[in-house]
Parts: sequence; structure tokens; C-alpha cells
Amino acid sequence: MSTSTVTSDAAARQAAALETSGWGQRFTFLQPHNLSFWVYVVLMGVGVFQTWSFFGPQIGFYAGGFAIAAVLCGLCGAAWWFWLRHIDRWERQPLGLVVAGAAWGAIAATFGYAMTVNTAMLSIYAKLFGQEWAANWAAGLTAPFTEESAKLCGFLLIMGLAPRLVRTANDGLVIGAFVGLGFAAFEDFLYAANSTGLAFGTDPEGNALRMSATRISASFVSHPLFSALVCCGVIYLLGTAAQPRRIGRGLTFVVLGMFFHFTWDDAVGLGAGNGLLTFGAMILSAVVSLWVLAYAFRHAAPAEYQFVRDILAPEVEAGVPTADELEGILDKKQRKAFKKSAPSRKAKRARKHLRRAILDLTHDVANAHGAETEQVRHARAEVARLRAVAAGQV
Amino acid sequence: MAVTEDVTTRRVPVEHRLLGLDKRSFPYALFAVAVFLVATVLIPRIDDALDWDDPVQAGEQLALTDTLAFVPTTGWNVVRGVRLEGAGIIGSGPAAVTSDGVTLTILTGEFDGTPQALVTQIEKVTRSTDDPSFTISADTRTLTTDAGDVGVVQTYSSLTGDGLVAAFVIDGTGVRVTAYGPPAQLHAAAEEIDAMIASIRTVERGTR
Repeated sequence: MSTSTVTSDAAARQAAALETSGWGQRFTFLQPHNLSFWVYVVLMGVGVFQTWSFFGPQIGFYAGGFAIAAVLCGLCGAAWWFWLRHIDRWERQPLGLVVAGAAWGAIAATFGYAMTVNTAMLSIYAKLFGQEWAANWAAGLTAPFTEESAKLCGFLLIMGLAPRLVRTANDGLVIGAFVGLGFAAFEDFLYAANSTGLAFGTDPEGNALRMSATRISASFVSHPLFSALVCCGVIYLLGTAAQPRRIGRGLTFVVLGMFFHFTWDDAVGLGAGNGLLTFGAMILSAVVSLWVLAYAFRHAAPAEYQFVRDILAPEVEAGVPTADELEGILDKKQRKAFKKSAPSRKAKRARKHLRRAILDLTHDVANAHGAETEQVRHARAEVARLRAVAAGQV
Repeated sequence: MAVTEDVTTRRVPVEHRLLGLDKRSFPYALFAVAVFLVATVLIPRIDDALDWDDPVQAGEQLALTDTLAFVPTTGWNVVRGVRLEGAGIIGSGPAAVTSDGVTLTILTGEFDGTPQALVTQIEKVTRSTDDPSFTISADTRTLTTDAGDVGVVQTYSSLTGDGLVAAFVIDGTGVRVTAYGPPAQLHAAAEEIDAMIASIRTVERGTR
């Protein structure tokens, strides 16, 4: 593409989209002038200290069990990590940013905040309402408030560190999921590590293995889901340059994120002690919460589609890619129709790859802030190459 | 200007600056600090300010497992535990009751050795993971529960306080009882503690 052929309208759309969306912005963690940076560092320090105080004395005795728990829960966390990176396809969040989010979830939110306040809240409920009531309901009426607020603090600190990068509902969903993933992975490890002391410490490895397996089996509905909804809701509540404030929608997502945390944690209470009813409550909770999460992603997507259209406006004007090809990678229905209309299986596969290539081009254009770079030229060439295959010409 | 632009080197615009910091980052940071203080200072203090007020009523029992229960002394406060006869009770678990500064806790778990072996294991684990000063005295006392299960009772000492530990093994389930508190109160409560330990018994499913 020659930049001289681009109309001022297309270039203006691109510039406005890059300014509004923050696509292509870099994440810098070290920000001495930013109070969020110092608060993040200090509260992470508190979390590290608490973590060491908790595990330090036990590490030597339960080393085998801890190692098993760390490996299994780490592998589970890694699997979810790759999945979340895979679905983060629009404005791909910088690695440093999601690492900062997950680290907060794992260390500061768990040991800096949740451990202390959960213990106190569970005790208060038992004192006020009795042991029986607390056994049924205290967990589900503690964690949705204490843990969701602890994770949300990390998300907000990241907003403070990267206000141009965290602007859309989709950003809230993805970054919230990473904060939640850090929390979930470390919480799973904590449960498994604590289980080493069961049976009076006579079978630490076996208990760590069993508890890790139990926690991993239920990891598909967990903190990433709850946090994604809460953080997405907070973006709507606060409003940003890229997302007008929507108080009703924001409150709905925040409350739903907390509500699903409650139904998941208190499934035993909701099932009134009946195993079948408890299982039913968990299944219903899982199905409905996953549906709401999918709805939230669908609702957040159009804003990202528009950014892609605007960022690629000069490219589309130059025919790389065409408007049809671009629409064919965005909306789900058009995407399916685009793939289906391919003349051969090879072309169908190429159309899938073309989608990825066009998104790569979008990211490269955004990273170059609209300038002509070697990376942009390469991405453009890739689109042209795959387009030929997708059209069945090769 | 956004906060992220040249953030490590650029001076914050004067209208956004306070003590060299960017004021636009304050709301996020102060929210996190406020939540932290509520979570780790305010709520724990509220908890500390509330006293336990869940006294054991005559005839009540606490469920330790699906098949084990014990009878806490009437008037002691239940700090942790699941009553057998309460409405809507779910499950069973560790128990802790307290009175006049003395706390008695009961914990169960799979164990297939003798009560004396359980005491040895308890000492080994506690010394290695919790309190290196935890030492169980050599003088062992036999205690038989009302149901006829035979266990051992020994005193222990540690830097954090002294007390007694009792161990039973009932049908493959180890039972660890710990009682601790100020020496005078612990001595005064000795009979009640023995009675609670002796009340540990097997309960049949469905008879609860």
C-alpha cells in the first residue's frame, strides 16, 4: 500500500481509533510518579511476606506434597493461561500487564487481603448467627465480597498504571480473567498445600495429589469467570474514553459476578444438604454463569470490531484486505459464512488463517501507530499470500 | 497526556502534580488502600470486639465425623463445630469449645497406628511445621472413654503455652484432643476436660 493513496478520512479514522482505543500502547510497570505503582509494590510486598510467613515453616516437612501441588496447580494454571491468551484476540494485552494482573491475583489478593479478612468474616458470621448458619452460608457470603474486592483492587491499580490500555469492556473481561486466574491457581495450591497436614501428616503427597485433582476438576468455573464479569462491569460503571458509562449494565455484571461466586461457594447450602440438589445447584450455576460470560463477551465485541475497521481503514481503502474480507473476520455469523463459502477445504483453512493474518496486520499497524514499518509490510504481504490461498487460487 | 507516556522519565504536568506524583493515579491507588485497610484492620477489629456467645445447651453434641461425636460441657462456648441435633445441619468437622480462657479442640483424620503412635506423630508434625519448642512430656496417662475406647493423655509444653494432648484411634480414625489455657484455669477445668474426652463415641448413621 502506498500511503499517498490513503484519503484523509481513512487516515483520520485510523488516528482517532488509535487515540481512543489505546491499541499499540506499551505497558510500563516502573512508574515512580504514579501512586498506583507504589501501592501495587507495597501491597505485593505485604502479600509476599504473609505468604512466606504461612508456608515458610512447613516447606521443609511437606516439601514433596508442596512440590506435587505446585506442579499440578501450576500446569492447570498454565493451561488456562494459554487459553486466555488465545481468546485475547482483539487488542492483545501486553504480556507485562497480564503478568502484573495475575501476580496481584496470586499474591496480594490472596495473602495480602483475602486470607485475613476471610478469617475474620467467617468468625463474625459464626459469632452473630451461630455455627449451623455459618456452616451453611458464611463462605458464600464472605468470598464474593472480600475476594472480588481484593481482585478488583488489582484491576483498578492496573487501570491506574495503564489508563490508555484498559478502556473497553473487553479489556475488563480479559484482564479481570487474568487477575482471577492468578488468584485461582494460588488458591488451588493453597488448598492442596493445606491438605498435606490431613491424616496427621502421614500421607502428604497422596493428599496433595487428591486435593489438586479435586480443585482442578472444578477449575472451569472459578475466579477468572467471576473477576471477568466484575471487572467488565466496573469498566461500564466508570466509563472511559472508549466506553461510555452504562451504570445499569455495569452494576448488573458486577452483581452477577459476585452472585455466581455465591452460588458456587454455597452450593451445599442451596442444596439443603442433599447431594443431588447440591450437584444440581453447581451445574445450574456453571451453565448460567458461562452463558452470562459468553453474553458479556458478545456484548463487548462490537466496540472492538469498530476499532479494527477504523485502524485498518487505510488498508481496506488500498484493498489490503478488502471490506468483505474484513467483515468476514469480525462478526461471528459473517465469519462462519465467509469460511463456509470457501471453494475447497484448503481454502477454508486458509480463510481461518487469513483472519489471524488480518488481526496481525491490525496489531502491527497499531504498534507502528499507523506508520510504515517493515513489520507492517510483512503483515500486509502475509494477508496477500493467504488471501490467494483462501480464494482457491493456489 | 496519558499517565503512561514516557512514564519513567517525564515530569508530571504541573496541574496534575502533587509531591511529584500524578494526581490522576490517586483514585485507583487510594481505593486499593482503603479496601486493604477495611479488610485487614477494620473487619478483624470488629471480629476481635465480638465475644463468642454460643453456649452449649444441655444434651447437645458436636459431630466430629459422620460416625464420631462428643458431648461438650454445658455452658462452654462453641467456637467451632457442628451440632448433631440442630436443624438444617450439614456435615461434621473439627470442634473447638472454650470456657474461662481454656480452649479444647478436637481434630480427626485417617490413622491406622496406636494412640501412642499418634501422639508421636503429632509431636513430630507440630515441631516440624508449627512450633519447634513443642515438647510432649514422657508421663503418659491412659484414658478410657465411656464407650470403652482406650487412648492416651500427655501434657505438653511450648513457648506459646502449656496444655495437654490426648489421642485415640477409633475404627481407623485418629482423634487428637488438645486443651490449653492459663495453668490455674486449666487445672480447674481438668474434670470437665476429662469428661468431654471420655464422651467421644461412635454414632450410627441415621441415629443422629
